Amino acid sequence: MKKQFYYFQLVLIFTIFWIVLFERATPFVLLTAPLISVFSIKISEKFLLKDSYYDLYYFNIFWLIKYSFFLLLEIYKSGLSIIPHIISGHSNPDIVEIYTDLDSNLQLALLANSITLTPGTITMDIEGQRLKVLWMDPKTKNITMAGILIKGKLEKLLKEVL
Amino acid sequence: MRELISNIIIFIGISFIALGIIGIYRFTNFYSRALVASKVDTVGYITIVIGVMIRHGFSYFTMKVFFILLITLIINPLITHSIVRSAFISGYKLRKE
Repeated sequence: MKKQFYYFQLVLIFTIFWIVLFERATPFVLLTAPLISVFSIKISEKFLLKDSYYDLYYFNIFWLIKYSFFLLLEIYKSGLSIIPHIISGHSNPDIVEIYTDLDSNLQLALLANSITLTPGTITMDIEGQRLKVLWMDPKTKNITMAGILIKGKLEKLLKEVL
Repeated sequence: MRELISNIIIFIGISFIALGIIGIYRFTNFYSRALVASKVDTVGYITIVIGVMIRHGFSYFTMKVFFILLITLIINPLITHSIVRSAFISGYKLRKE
């Protein structure tokens, strides 16, 4: 059931994309959209991934919307917090290591990219479950404290995905 | 009314970008510049695109702009990461300012 819902989500997203590209919702477009979606999912699973989307990139669309709003809020928060540094001209960039509990590749990639997307922090490297993060103004170099300050609630939300 | 709101949002976006550019010229160290530059292409960019979407109302154009926004949000951190990582590997020094 979960699997069917997941593929239904994928087909729905691809269908909307197809309709938007055509810029009209005639019967022809509405009929070809799901067919092309299913065809492209099958082809990419068979030749590119050599595995199923369900096993590799599982997500829930409601979770995705929730996560995007949360990420947007984080981006604006850290975007505002970086303004004093620009005005005063002080910066003390340093590399700190943080530890994460997440283990699947998708979750790690999402976490690393979310950290890079928020201004003031850039992920440099991942080794296992340790992330090297370049930080604008490190308040602490302690591995757990830095983890709490950088990851915030992102990690908690990412744990919900699976 | 909608035009006024969208103009204000676009103005906020442009001021974010202006701040980012001031930051790029203010700092001299590579890493500080890279960190400040991400302000231009995330906060400023997202704000401007949201302003454009509100200004145009709900249409196919808005949806296309939204898809462009999504694609950029996926690709943007990859580029930042690869630039900074390659700089670190080639031996750029971290410096306090």
